[in-house]
Amino acid sequence: MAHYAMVINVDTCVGCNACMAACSQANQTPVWDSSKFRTYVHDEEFKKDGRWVRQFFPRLCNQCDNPPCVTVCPTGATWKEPSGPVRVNPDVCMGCEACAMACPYDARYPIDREDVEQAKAYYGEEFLKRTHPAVDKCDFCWDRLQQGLEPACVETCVAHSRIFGDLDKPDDLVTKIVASGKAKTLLPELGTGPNVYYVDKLPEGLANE
Amino acid sequence: MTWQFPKMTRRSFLKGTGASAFGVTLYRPEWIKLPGPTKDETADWGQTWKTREAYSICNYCSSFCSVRATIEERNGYERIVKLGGNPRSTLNGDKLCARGQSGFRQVYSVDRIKGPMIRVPGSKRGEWAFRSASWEEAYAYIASKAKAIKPYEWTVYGGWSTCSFYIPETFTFTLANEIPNLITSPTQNCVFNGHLGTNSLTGNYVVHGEVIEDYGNSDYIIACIGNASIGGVSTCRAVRFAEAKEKRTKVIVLDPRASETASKADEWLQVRPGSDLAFMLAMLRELMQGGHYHDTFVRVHSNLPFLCYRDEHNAWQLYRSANGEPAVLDAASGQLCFLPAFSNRNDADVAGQAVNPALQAPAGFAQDGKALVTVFQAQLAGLESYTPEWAEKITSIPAATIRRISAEFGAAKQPLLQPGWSGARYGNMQMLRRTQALIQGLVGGIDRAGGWLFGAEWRNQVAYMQNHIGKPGFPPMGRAGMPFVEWTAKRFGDPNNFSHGFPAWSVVHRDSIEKLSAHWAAMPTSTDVGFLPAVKGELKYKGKPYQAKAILLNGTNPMRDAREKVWKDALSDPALELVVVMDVMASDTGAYADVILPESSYLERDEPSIYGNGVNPDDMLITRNKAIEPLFDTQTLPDVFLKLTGVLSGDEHNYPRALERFTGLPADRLIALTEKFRAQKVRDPFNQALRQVRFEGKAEELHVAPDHLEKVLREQGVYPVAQAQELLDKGGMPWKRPLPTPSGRAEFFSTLYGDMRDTFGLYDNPFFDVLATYIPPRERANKAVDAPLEDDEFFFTFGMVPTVSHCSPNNDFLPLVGINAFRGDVYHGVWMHPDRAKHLGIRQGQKIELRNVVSGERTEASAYLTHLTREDTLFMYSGFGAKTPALRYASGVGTALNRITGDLTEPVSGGTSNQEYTVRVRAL
Repeated sequence: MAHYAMVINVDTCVGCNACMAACSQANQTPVWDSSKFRTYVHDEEFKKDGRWVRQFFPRLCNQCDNPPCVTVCPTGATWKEPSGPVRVNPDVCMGCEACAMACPYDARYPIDREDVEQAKAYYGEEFLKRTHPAVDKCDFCWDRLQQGLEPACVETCVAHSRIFGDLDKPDDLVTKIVASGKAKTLLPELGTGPNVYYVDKLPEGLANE
Repeated sequence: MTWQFPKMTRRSFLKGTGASAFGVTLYRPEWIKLPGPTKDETADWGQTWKTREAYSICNYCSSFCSVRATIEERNGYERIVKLGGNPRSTLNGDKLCARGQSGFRQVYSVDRIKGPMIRVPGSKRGEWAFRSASWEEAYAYIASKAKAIKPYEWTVYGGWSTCSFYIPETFTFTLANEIPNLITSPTQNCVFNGHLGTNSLTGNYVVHGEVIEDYGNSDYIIACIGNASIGGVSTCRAVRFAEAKEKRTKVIVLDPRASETASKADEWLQVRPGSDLAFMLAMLRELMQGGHYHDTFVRVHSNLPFLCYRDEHNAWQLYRSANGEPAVLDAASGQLCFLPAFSNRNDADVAGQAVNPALQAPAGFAQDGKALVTVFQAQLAGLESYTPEWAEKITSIPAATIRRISAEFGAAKQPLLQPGWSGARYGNMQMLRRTQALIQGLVGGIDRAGGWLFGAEWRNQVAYMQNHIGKPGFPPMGRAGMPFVEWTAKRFGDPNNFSHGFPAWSVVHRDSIEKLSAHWAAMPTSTDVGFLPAVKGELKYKGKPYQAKAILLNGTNPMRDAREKVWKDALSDPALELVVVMDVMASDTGAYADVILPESSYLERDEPSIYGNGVNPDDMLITRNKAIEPLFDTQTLPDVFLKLTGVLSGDEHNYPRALERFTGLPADRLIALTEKFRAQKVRDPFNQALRQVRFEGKAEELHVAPDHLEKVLREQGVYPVAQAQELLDKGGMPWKRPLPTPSGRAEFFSTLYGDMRDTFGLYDNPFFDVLATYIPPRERANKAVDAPLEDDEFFFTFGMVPTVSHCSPNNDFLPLVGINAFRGDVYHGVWMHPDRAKHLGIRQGQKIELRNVVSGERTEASAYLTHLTREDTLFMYSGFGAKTPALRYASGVGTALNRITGDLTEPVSGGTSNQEYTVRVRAL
C-alpha cells in the first residue's frame, strides 16, 4: 500500500503561483473567487537575523493521518483513503461546513450552487467534474494519481519546490527527505499527523534527484 | 493499485536516434521529467470520455516553452482542459508557469474577438464601439481607406507573435508592400535597450533571449535587474536556477526591493536604483586588476589583445593593416603581427604563423607614430577611477562588499553573471548589460558549462550564415544576430530600397532633429521614436511632407506597454486615417481601432514554421499543432498578410514573391499550394502552404520524409536532433567557430558602438564609448545621485509580476485574476517603506497620488507598506491597469505603469528610460 506524501522545499519556491494555476484548472475550482483555491502560495515578510526577508510559503491540505475534518463529518462525505489522501464525495456532502471549522489548516472551502452554475460556463457544461455543491479540498489530485500522474501542482512546479512520493518506497526522494529528520510539519502538536512536510533546504546530498 | 511514481532516473531524450545518454555535463536539472507518461499509460482509467494530446509552444513570454495540451472529447464536444509542459522537451520538461498553465483560458475567454469588427459611424476611437462585420467587409473597408494612402504612409506594428514567431512573415509583408515603417514590440524595450549591450560583445540578436544561463553547473551566481528571467518568471530559466539553489550555489542579487529572485539570494544587496552599472564597473576593475580572467578566452578568442590608439578626436581606434586586419603584439618575439580580420582565434597571423598574443604592450610601444596599447590596457586605464570606494558612494553598497564579491566571483570555477532580461529603465542600461557581458567574457563563461550557453537553434543560424553568406542563393534574411539587425536598419533606412524613395520615418525624424536632443536615437530601428511627429505632420523628407496616415497593429498593446500619452495622442489624431488592429482579445489599444481583425489563438492554429526549441542548448525542433479547431470566425496572420498584400499592392502574389526574395522560400510552390488548399476549402490556405514548404525544406535537411517529421512533431511535440555537449564540442562560440561579431571574436572593444560613434561624430559621448565606461543615471537631472530627496520624493522602480506577461491580456484570465487578487496589494499596489509612509501619514492600503517630477504625469495607486523596499524607492509590478471595459476582469484592476513612466529616450536605440525620474507622493 502506498503512503503518499509531499515535501515542500521552501528554499527554492520562487512564488510564481504555477501550482495555483495548475491546480485550479486540473480540479475545476471556482477561480472567480480568490478565497476558493485548493492551494495557495503565501507571500510573507518577516525579520530574520536582523534583516527583513521575503519568503514564499505554499500551503495545501495536509492529508492528515488523523483528519479532524473526517471525524466531524456527519454524513460520511469525507473520508481518508488507505493510501493517504482525504477525499470528498460531493453527492453526500450536505454543506454544513463542520469540516472547514474543524480543520486547523484552513484547507477546506465551500463550493456553492452559484459556483457550480458559473463552472458550467467557465469549464464547459459537458466537461464538469463536479455538478453538486460540496465543501471542497485538495486530495493530492486523486484523479491524476489514478492515471499515473503526479498532482498537478507538483508536476508543474518550476522550482522543484513541491516534491511528491510514496513514503513506503525507500528510494523516493520524499522518503529520503523525511528520513533525514530535517522535514517539519505544520502544528505537529495537534496530533493530526500531516503528510505535507516542509524543509528549509534540501538535505545535503539529495540535490538533483 | 496501478499507479506508479514516475521514475526520476536520467533518461536519454534521444531514444529514437540511437545516441548515448548525456555525459557528465547536464544542461538541465534531472528532476525535469523526460519523457512523461505516454498515451498508453494513461489510456483506460475507468472514465467514459476520451482524451488526446496536442503539442504546441507557449505564447506568454519569449521563453518559448514547450507545451502539451490535454483535450477531452465528450458527447461530440471537444475542449482543452489542461496545459502543461511537454516532458519530451529538455527546455522546460513538464514544467510550465502560471501564465502558461492558464494560456488556454484565452481560447475560452468571454473577452475574445469573435469576428471582424468595424467601428460604428459617429463614435470616437477609444470608446470600444464596434459592429460586427464579415471578413469581406473588413477588407473592403481597409481597401476603401487605403486608396488615398501611400505605402510609406503606412506603419506596421508587430507585437507578440511577430517578436517570437513571425519575424520573416512580418518583415517580408512590409517589404512586399513597400512599407518602410516597422515597429516591433516588445523588442524595443525588452530586447534592444538591454540586449544590444550584451550583443555588442557576442554579436547575438535573438528576440526570445540570446542565451540560457547554465545555473546548474555554476558555482557562483550574480543577478542584477534580472527578476524577469528567474522569478518573473521564465520557466526554462527558473528550473535551472532552482537546480542551483538545491545544490546550494551561492546567489547574489542586486535589487532595490526584494524581488522574487532577490528573495532566493544568499545576499540581497539593496542597491540604489540606477546604480548597478557603478557596481559592475568596480567589479570589472577588480577582476582585471586582480588577474581574474580566463587566459585562453581573453588572449585567443577575444579582442582584448588587439592593439589600439587614440585618433585625432582622442577616441580609441583599433590599429589595422591597410587590408583592415587587426594587430596584436606577439609575446614571444615582441613583434607586431596582423591577424585575419574575421576569425575566432588570435593564435595565427595572416600568413598562418603561430602568434602568442600579449595582453599588455610595453610602455612607449608605437607604430607609424601611433602610441599603441592593447584593448586590455585601454580598458583597464579607463576603469582606473572606478574603485569600490567610488562605487560605494553611488550604489550605497559598502566598498568592502564589492571587493569581497568580486574576489569570490573571480575565484569561482564557473561564475555566472546573469545577463538580465528586459531593458529600458535607464539610459545606462545598455552599458550595464555590456559591462556584465564583459565580465562574463573575462572569466571565459560564454558557451561553456556553468556560463552563458547559446541556444542550439541560434548556433545553427549563425553557422548557416557564416557558411553561405556571399554565395549565390543566400537570402538576405538568412542573416543571424547583429548582421541581421544591421541589414534591417539599412533595408528600412535607405530610400533607394523603395520605389517611392522614402526611408523609414524613424530615420527621417532622427535626421531632422538636433543630434542628442530629447528624442534623438542613433539606431531607432523598429522603435516608435518619431511616430508621433510623423502623425502630427511634423516630418518632411526632401522638402515633401512625410505623414503617417495608417497603422496595422498586430498583437500588441502600446496603449499599455509603450508611453500612454504618446500613443493616445497618436491614435486619437484624425490625421491617422486608418487604424487596423489584429488580435485575439480585446485590449486598450484595440479600443482605438477602426477595424479589428480577429486572430486565431495559438492553440487553434498550426504554426507556419518549424523552430528550434527556444534557447534550449539541445537541438530540438518544435512547432505548434492546433489543439482544437478555431471556435470563432478568426484567421491566421500569414493569411491576413496575404489578403492585405492584395488590398495594398494590388497583387497578393507580391507577398510570396517577397518571401522568396528575402527568405528563399519558393514563391511558385507557395502560390500553387495556396490555390490547392483554397480549392480544398482549407481555412488557412497560405498558412498551411508555408508550413508544408518549410516542413519539406527541413525534412530534406534532416534526410527524412516530411510526413515523418510532421508525424513526430504532432505526436510528440519535439523532434530531437543533437545534444548540447556534442554541439558545444563541435561549434561552441567563439571557442570552435567565430561569433557573429564583425571580427568573429568576443568584442570587448565594441566595433558596433565605435561605428555609431564615428558615423555621428559622438567622440566623447559615453553612450557610444567603445569601452566600458560610466554613464550616470538620469533620475535627478541636476543633482548628485546621493543628494537628499525631498520629504515626499522617491526613486521609482517596476518589475514583472509572474502572473502577467508583458504585452498580453492575461491579466484578464480568471485563474490569474484570482491569484492576483489573493496577493492583493503586493501585486496591485505601490510598495513603500513603512518609515517613509508614517512620516507622510500614509496607511496600509491608502489611495495615494504619484507625480512624475520630470514629466508631470500623475496617477493614483494603492499604498502597500513593506520593509522589502529601500526607504528611498517605490516599487510597482507592471501588467495591470487595463482600462477598456471590454476586458471585464482586468479593467480597473491596479495601476497602469505607463501612466507615470515619462517620455525620456536613450540616445543609442531609442529605448524608453522609464525609471529615470523621481516621483512625489501624497495621500488622497
